[in-house]
Amino acid sequence: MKASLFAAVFALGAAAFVPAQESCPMQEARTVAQTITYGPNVACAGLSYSIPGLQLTTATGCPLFATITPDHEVAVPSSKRTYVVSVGVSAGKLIYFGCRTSYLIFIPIGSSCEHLRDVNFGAYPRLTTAACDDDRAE
Amino acid sequence: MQPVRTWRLPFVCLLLFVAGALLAPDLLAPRPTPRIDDGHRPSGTSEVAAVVAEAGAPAIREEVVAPPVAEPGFEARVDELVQLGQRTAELAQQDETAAATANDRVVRDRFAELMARFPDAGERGLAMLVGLSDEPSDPRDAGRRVVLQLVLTTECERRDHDAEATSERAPIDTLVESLLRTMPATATTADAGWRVLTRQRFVRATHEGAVLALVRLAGEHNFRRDIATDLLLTLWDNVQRFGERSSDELSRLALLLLDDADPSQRTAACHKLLKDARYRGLVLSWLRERGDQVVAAEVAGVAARELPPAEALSLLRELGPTLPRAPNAYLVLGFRAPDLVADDYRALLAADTHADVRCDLVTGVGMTLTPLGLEIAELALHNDPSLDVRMQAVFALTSRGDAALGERALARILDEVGVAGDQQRLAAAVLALQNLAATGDANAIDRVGRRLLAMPLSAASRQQLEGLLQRCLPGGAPGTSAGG
Repeated sequence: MKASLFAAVFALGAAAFVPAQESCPMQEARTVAQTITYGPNVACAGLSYSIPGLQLTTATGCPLFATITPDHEVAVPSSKRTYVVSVGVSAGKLIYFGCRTSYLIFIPIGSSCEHLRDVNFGAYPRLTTAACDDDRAE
Repeated sequence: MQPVRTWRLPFVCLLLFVAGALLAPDLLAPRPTPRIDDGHRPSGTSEVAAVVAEAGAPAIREEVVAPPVAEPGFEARVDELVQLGQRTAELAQQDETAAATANDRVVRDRFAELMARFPDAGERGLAMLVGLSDEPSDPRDAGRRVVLQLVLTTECERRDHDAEATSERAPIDTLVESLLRTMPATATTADAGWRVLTRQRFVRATHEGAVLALVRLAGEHNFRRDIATDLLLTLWDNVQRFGERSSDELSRLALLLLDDADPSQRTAACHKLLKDARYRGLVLSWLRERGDQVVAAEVAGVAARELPPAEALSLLRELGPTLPRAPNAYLVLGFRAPDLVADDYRALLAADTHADVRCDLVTGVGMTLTPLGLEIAELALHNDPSLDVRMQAVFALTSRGDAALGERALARILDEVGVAGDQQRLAAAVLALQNLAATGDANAIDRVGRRLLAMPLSAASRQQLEGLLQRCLPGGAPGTSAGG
């Protein structure tokens, strides 16, 4: 069975305190870039919404929500004698939108697909790579 | 010489009158004619011509030689529509529905006039759009974009309709080609082209070169990849839909493109093949062999959005070895088919298998804010043997805007031995508390905040928590609000 996100992070966190060099896990942190996924659309003017560092747009229709998976790391096998250390978590964001367009408006100026609220839907690990030769107990 | 001048004058007047009548057909219709000397200023070609006709020969000669009021041009009409549209929006926002409706009727009439007056409205609109700056200095530019996009859409629909009737596609094809070629010019043209052409019937096989040029630009990071991909998918859908290529031809092309280096081509290929049940297994084995999580995540998204929910759920399960977690796809599926996702969660919980999939299923249905979402999140928090799934349920329960519910969920998870001493899980609990903060219930935030502060948080989480308490609590620190 594949390892879950949390399980992977917590196992890695625990591994960081295993001092024996013979058990070097030979892993490194690989960054997974931020991704945005849009939920189903409702008929509306298109979305154009900015949050710091990010612009959300759709051609037509108002998405019910958008999910933002932040930049994070996964542990992958490495040929080097390295291991990964957890340095924190980043929030996965779920942003809800709603269509406020009045359907009487033929030219939808000033209308439209509006931000309603956002919530955190999960925690994504931030990892870094360290050499097994270092003193991992510290 | 004198007699000649005498017969010429009425002839010239007659000619001028006929010319005026041709310019204004309503000239000859019976109508009350405003008088120049009653303070009314004539406006519009026909009204001026009528006034001139009644005023007598000398006046006719003077008015026709120097045309009185110029008809508004394309750009002036667009600006008028912007102004009217803004006024309608203001009235609608002030709940003055009757006035907004009346104004909106005027807008529709003026827009119809514009389209009728300019058979080349599409080309004119495109030219005006290219002239708009991406960083508008004129506050009307945002409105101009909206109106010009509407002009282009309407023009495409008009020409497509004509093409259906006459089988002559040159006018619509030429406009679409121009729009596609113009798209890389500015962010404004790229956005307009995307909104006008994506998932519409206008892009056809003849535009393949222009679409692939955009794909190439996207591959060089000189154009937005999502737009290029959308247009490529639109092209493929249309060439199949209108019989310009068969489904099998496209599938063969998609198979070739699966290994293409360009991400837009690859995504389009996966998209095409996934929708055909005959090739779905092939895509899955290609993904497993390749192990590319980025493409796998895109495929998961396509499946969640576009396949029948049951097939999408099954495909997401099969993607598991390549893509350990796909919360985004499950969220989409949870909104499309919450009952299906809930049933799948119950089944996996009963079998106590696939804890990672259970996490995603709880995310998918739990975040929908429906009674079913609440039921599944509660079920997971109280009954799931996996701490990861229980933690996921806390995110769902704290995001519902119910402070008491969120506080209970956080209190329960903080009682867990596996959480209380674990910095990563505590960091996740701080993120869940951020959801609770949106309820504005200072007492609940205070109680959970104080409890978390007493736990072994990482430095980053502690800082994050202190910042949250600073923002949310009246005194900026825990223990100062009631109920603590």
